[in-house]
Amino acid sequence: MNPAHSKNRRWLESLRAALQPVFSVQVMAVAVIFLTAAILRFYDLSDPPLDFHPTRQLHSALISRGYLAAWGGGNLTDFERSRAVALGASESRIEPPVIEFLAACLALLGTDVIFAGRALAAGAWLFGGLPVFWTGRRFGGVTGGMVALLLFFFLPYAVIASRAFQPDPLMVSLIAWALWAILRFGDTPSPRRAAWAGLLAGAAILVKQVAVFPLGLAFAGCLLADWEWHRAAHSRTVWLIGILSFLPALLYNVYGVFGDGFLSQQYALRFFPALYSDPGFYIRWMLKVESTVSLPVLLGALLGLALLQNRNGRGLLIGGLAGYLLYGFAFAYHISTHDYYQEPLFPLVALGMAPLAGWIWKGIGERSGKPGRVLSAAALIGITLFTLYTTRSTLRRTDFRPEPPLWRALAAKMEYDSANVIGLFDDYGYRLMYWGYMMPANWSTTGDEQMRILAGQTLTPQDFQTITGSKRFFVVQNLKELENQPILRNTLYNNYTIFDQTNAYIVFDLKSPKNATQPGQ
Amino acid sequence: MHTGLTLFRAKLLPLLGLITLLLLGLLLRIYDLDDPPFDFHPTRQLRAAIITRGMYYQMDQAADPARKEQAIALWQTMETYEPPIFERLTAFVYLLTGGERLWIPRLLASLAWLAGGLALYDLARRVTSTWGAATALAFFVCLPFSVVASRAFQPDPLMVALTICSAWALERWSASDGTSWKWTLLAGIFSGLAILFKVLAVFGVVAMALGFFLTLQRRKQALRQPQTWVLAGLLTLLPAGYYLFGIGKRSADFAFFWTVQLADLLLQTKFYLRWLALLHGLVDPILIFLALAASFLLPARGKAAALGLWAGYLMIGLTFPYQVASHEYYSLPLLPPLALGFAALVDAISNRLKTQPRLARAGVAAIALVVLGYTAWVARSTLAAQSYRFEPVAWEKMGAALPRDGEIIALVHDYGNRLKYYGWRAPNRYWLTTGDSALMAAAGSSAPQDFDAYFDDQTKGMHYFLVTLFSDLEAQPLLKARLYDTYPIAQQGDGYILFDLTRSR
Repeated sequence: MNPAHSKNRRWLESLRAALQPVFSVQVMAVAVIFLTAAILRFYDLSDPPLDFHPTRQLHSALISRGYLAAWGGGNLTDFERSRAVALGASESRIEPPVIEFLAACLALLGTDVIFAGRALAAGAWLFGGLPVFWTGRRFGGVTGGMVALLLFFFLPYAVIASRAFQPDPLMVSLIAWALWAILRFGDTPSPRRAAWAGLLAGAAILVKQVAVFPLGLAFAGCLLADWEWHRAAHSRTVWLIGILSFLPALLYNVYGVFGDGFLSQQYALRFFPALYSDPGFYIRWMLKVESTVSLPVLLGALLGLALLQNRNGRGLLIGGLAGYLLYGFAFAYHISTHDYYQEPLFPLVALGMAPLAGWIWKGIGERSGKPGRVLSAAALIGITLFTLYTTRSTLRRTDFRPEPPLWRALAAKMEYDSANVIGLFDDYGYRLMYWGYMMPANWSTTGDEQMRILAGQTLTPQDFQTITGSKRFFVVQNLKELENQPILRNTLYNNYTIFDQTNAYIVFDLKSPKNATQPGQ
Repeated sequence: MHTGLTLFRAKLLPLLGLITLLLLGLLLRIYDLDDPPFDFHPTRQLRAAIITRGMYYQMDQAADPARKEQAIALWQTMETYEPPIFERLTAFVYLLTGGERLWIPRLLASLAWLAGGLALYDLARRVTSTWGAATALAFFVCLPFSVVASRAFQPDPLMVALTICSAWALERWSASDGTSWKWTLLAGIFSGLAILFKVLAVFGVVAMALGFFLTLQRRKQALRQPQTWVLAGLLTLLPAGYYLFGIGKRSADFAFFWTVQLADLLLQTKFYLRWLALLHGLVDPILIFLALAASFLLPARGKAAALGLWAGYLMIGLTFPYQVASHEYYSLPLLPPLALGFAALVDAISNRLKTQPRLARAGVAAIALVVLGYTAWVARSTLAAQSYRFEPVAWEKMGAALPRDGEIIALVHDYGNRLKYYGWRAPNRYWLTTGDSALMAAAGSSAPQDFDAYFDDQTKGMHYFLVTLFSDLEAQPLLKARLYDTYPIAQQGDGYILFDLTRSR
């Protein structure tokens, strides 16, 4: 045989051997899951972010656009640039604006800042799929890993929430990475693994501080599953994880409260212990869980916990879920009213389902053989495809593209004079702020007032004349809320002329009363 | 002491759990039971109510002759779908209790469902464990869809209950290796009755019977023993006597229209999507998957029951594609196999839990109780959220006010059943709703090309056009324009407009 030919053949065989694992059915299946998840998340991503918590997304968009404008990026006029910088700077910063900063960097390349933010969020969630799969595989074999990944990627709420321009998707992704790293440390402790666990947990907590609850207790749970208290307390690696986890957020808070002072007012209206004795609070919380991860998945995850053999893993998940509960009590109002407060639950329930899936798969193989497995796999694929279809339909159904021009036009009609404008808004006037470059004053909604009462604050009734005395325009975007405030409704409709009206808003001209004698009449 | 505790755990605790679950199921079902039956498929429930009323008046010697004649005439307007056993039974109870009360059949349906639950519990206990059985029963009686649908005045809850009884008896028959006469007879009677009550049960019952036959140790010998053939005979002859020999022509027409003419739907993706979307509204898809996968964990006889019922439900969908994707109650037969799947899942997990610390077991028990309580609360809230008590009055007034001097064509709710039941009046002809037109199109009928000609043809000989279904009138702009532009309004009342077709504007 020709030596060159033989060499080529050997080379081909070694290449085939190297590539064999890459092209295995499992790897291909995981790749398909990732690819499908990416396609679904980038579908219709250029639609304005009004489908999911617009207040929160436009808050991030304003900060991000502020950076971009300050750096000279973006296609903005001088007026828009100066306004964008001012509006961005005026936004409160509860957590460090990591995703906003990254989105602004990406937007420097020429993309829209909102698209950049949403793409980064979606990308972060996808990246978080890797540790979910790896950890799920440890808990329930390849089947467990795949089921965990399917849930993490394709639960309908996860698809919508993971495209939102807000810190939560990045936090969830980092939680997943930190859980993976903590588990690796728990299995085989080493300074290197401790450093990774600490850095990833620290990053998650820095991005959004509420991550401290699930991660702190997950770490404690994982550690105490195998270690004695005193051993943990005297371990340098444990301290390393603790310091790396808490230090970044601690420094940020110290700077925010005692240094710059921008955080000093940010912890008001967060703690509502009065709700603990209200049964409605628990029902509302459960309804939020139902509408996000869904109760069957949560239950499945709890059952999976009972089946999980890995002691560290069980401690990790029990701790993580206990942390979520503690977090719910700490933010009682928000957990029962804001669905996105349930997001830290996603990696935990996905991982909890892994042992259940692995165990069922094994059981089916033992008791029903290949036919049982084929039918079960077909059912899983069918249900996943159906979920994909319905989620895509949800995304397709809404189109918010006509909204930005409306707000831009309204701002122009009101001559961009923020001092003249007050409004009753769905989202605190963020649409007018972002697309109209204005900063309107807000008329309180009944929801805002209820929250203040719950927090123990004393309310004084809103006096129309006092509040609107210097304003010219009253913008009503939240028509449902206007019905909840009949005095305001009657005052506006009975006394003032309508300046402008579309499907999205009604603007009353407060300087043009209905019964005033018009010049020339 | 030790013996007492063991006895409590082994016997009394499961019994207490069983009684508690059945009581909870009953409490949920009797909540707001006297609300008129508009909460769930009123067409079907009022149909049964009209038939029953006719039977009751026919049997009641003291009834006013004019009323009796009217009630029977309205009964005769109803098509025959299945033997009116439930209706006849209800009419007897009306007679015994001295009056027509719509909550009575709803209570009977609920009791039948709970009896089915009891059979399900015992079946699940035999193929899994007490914990598995309790889970199956809890799911079966507390799922919000089950609560609402199982108290409906229609044969479906009874059909499902009898199907479960059939599974329960077949399992016992199989356990005796097909030799026990007692279980042969019970299995045959329950199976035959289930199909007789509603023919949909045939798929699940036959699939289960075949499955159980395959679990027999000596199948060849079983084929030669009389018990097998008696069972098959009872299973077949009871329903065949009615559906084939009693209403054979009607059965053939029914099968031809709903199955043959609508078979094209099976080739359309949107049919499967609609089916899944409907299911999604009833039971979480993840639960469906978990239960299906867990069914494969059951032992042979459990698998025969669960997979037979799964196959039966699938066949219902493929045989009646239009209904399965549009009528929730066609998915009621899915609940028993789902419950058996959960029984298998919980059984296996409870085995694992036995080795866990007491605190962990207490935690799981607490979570189970919270979930049960929450599910029951959701079911109760579903019932509490709506009240239809004012609805009948409008129909009564309408029935009294409608003129009697001419024929009426109507675009009305529930094929006129509300008007028939509460208003004691039956329109003479029905104008097709958009839903009906879509059904006809799916069955291959072409839509009329010339609306005016079609209208003239449909209203020929009619004096009035009654409209109560205004949303549907909006969806038929040509009809709306023709009525409003051409004919004067003869009457207008709470929820209806009557156009005078004999005059023009």
